[in-house]
Amino acid sequence: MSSRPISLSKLSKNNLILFVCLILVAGVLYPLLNRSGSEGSVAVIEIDGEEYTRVDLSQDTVFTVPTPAGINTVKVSNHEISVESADCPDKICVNQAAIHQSGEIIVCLPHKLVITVITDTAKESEEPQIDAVTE
Amino acid sequence: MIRKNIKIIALCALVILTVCVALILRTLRHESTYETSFFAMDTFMSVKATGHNPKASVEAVRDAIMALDNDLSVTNPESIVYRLNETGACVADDDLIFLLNKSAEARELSNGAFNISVYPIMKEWGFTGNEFKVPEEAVLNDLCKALSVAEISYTNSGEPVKLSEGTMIDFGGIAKGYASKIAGDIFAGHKIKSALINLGGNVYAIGKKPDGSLWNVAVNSPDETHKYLGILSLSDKAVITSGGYERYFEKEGVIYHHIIDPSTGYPARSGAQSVTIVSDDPTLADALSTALFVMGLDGAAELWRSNSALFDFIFYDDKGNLFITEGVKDVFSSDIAFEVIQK
Repeated sequence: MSSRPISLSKLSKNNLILFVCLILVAGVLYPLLNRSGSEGSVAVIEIDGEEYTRVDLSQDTVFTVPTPAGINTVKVSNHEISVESADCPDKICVNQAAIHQSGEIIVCLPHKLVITVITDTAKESEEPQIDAVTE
Repeated sequence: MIRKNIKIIALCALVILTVCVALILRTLRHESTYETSFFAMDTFMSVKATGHNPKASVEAVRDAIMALDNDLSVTNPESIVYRLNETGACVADDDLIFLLNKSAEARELSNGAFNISVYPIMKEWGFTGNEFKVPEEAVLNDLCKALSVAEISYTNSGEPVKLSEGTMIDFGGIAKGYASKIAGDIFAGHKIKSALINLGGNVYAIGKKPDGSLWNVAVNSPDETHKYLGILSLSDKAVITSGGYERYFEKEGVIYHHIIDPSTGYPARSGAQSVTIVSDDPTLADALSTALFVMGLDGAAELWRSNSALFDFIFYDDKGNLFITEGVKDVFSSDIAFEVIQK
């Protein structure tokens, strides 16, 4: 605040009104400007660009994903998701290590199947968040 | 009293004005993130951008890459490159001229280790149609001989491109890098300052993350010992990797990968397992990742020493040793011990 010699009472009253107004404005705008959720970790499974399902990585499970080109068996275990088996020719998806960090993906190119982790379980750990993997 | 009221009215007006200005600014400068993914160039691509109306920019990028794929595909009978390979001639457009120039630059830099005319050899091995076979040595020798005299003549956009007899080209080792460059140009034109382009593991990080921090790009590990070779934290860089592990087949216990050494006609046996290029120039980075894989560590280091302003690299050899060049030592972190190559 400025330190010009203005009568304190006037200043404080007007200031009070200003402050209240600004706090109200800030209170209304903040949630609008800052919408970010903090849910648990989730993986999205897409087939040829269309979302097939979402899985919660805190629940261990094994399930099959039937794509028009073949079947992938997906496994969630220990907060990580991986492709356990698949009838695709190259098995690149099966050989890929399990993923858990936001932004990591597993792709089965022959089946056009994509698994993406969308929220981060590793926030409290030392690992930096990975934005992309070069390969 | 009136004086006092005026002050209060003025104050209220000021507050209202401030709110209006804030709201207008928010609408004008409202930044959001949009991401899309799609299949093109035989791989999975994802593109995301943050800024004003990112959806339009991201979709423009996707459309441009799809169109480029249609022009450059060696298997699509409608493509310009297919026609060029079949008939030996076509009319050049701007994309083709840029790619031919860059390919020539990379070929010269790498002393022939990167060569788009290696396509007939790739075809012989079945790496284009996925019907893998080990070709006869005599056939490969003939193809290598033909490659050594292969010529591509071209001048400008709108003018003809001609291939010498028996020559066929494939931009597969450079097209994704060029697609990243095109994407970068589109984002620059749309004034997008933060974007991440991931074309099947060819990464181009534009600007910084929306929160102002650097992009973290992990380098995939080709073997089981580690998940990643390390993490690069950077902005405005292309990060492109070539690895024999990406595409290969096995015959009688021998692994044949898809990175062909143009001087032998066989998959490169240079001791490289994975080579990552970090550069401002995504097109060159793509070509150099293949070239350095073919050249091996000594050749790679020598090329880097005379062109260290153009690129840096991360080299993982088949014995599990990791090397990085000086230029990335401050932005690379790894659990694996690595050696820094100095100028």
